[in-house]
Amino acid sequence: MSDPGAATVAERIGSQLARYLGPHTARVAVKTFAQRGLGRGPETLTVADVPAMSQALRPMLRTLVGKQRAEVVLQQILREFGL
Amino acid sequence: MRYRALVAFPIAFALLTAIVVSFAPAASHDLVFQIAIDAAKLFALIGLSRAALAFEPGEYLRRGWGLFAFCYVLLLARDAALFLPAAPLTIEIVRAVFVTLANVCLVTAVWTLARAWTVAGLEFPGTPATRRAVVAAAIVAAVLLAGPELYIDVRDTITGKSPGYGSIGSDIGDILALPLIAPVAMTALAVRGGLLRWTWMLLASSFGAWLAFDLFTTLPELFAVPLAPFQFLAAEFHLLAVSLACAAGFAQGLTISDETDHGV
Repeated sequence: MSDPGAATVAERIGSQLARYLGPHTARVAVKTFAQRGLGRGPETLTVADVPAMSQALRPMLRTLVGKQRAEVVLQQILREFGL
Repeated sequence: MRYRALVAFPIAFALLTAIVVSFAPAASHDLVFQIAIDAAKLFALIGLSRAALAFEPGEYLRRGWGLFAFCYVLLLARDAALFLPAAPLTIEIVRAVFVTLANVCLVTAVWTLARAWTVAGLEFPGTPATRRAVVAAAIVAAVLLAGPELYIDVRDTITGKSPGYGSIGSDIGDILALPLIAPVAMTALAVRGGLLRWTWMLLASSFGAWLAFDLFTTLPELFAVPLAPFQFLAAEFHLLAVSLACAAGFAQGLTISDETDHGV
């Protein structure tokens, strides 16, 4: 059974990525890197997982938008959760 | 607005050139197109350099965009070689060297750009079977469109009809680079709705324009069709392909720069 609060975390991370990657790839990226970085599905993410998720997303973002823009996006994700 | 202006630029440039050509005397059509295409190459060099410099040294896409930009340095050098005070054969050899190096750069650049999605750790949309079908279709299209031109250039070079060493290098480059339209187009599809779509859509459109250029260059060689309309269309798509690459470079630079937080 999924936790609606945790699903929201995945969606909120996805919405920050969607500006650059589009909504489809943003969802795929959150799913892919939640599994690779945390070994869990996106539906299990909590606010406590957000720093680890941002670390997991960093190499992907650096490849596609460069280091500077990647750091801006990651900061936006952290700010979204007041971190 | 700025991204839409980048999309409008190649179309407007091609249309403007077509209008100028339609009013110019027939004897000067080639010259008008050559000037427009060389201007587009210069713009492409600037746009692609802008994309490369938006990334920091060592970053993956800096290499791809940088090689793409260097390809246009070599192509402009090839065109400038026409003004060398040397024998025609020497000029032809110098031009062949430049165009071959340019094609090596182009294939490496496009390969690097096409792999960005995979290097980032993401999967292309669609099932594996669909993705394989798209790649196969792109390979078939590249071979069908650029293959006959390669055959004709090899034949003409062997028979001495025309020295086509540079053209052979260019044809091989086309056959190797054009199938990579598939991963570039799939990347454009994957990022639909995001700012990166502009870059990848423009890049995929540029490769699409190269396919059309090959089609309109090859058809008159294979079939008894009036030459002039096809030469006109080939020149227009050449112009579009180069201008779209320029726009893709500027779009990549815009997406990465701090100024992109406002306005599409």
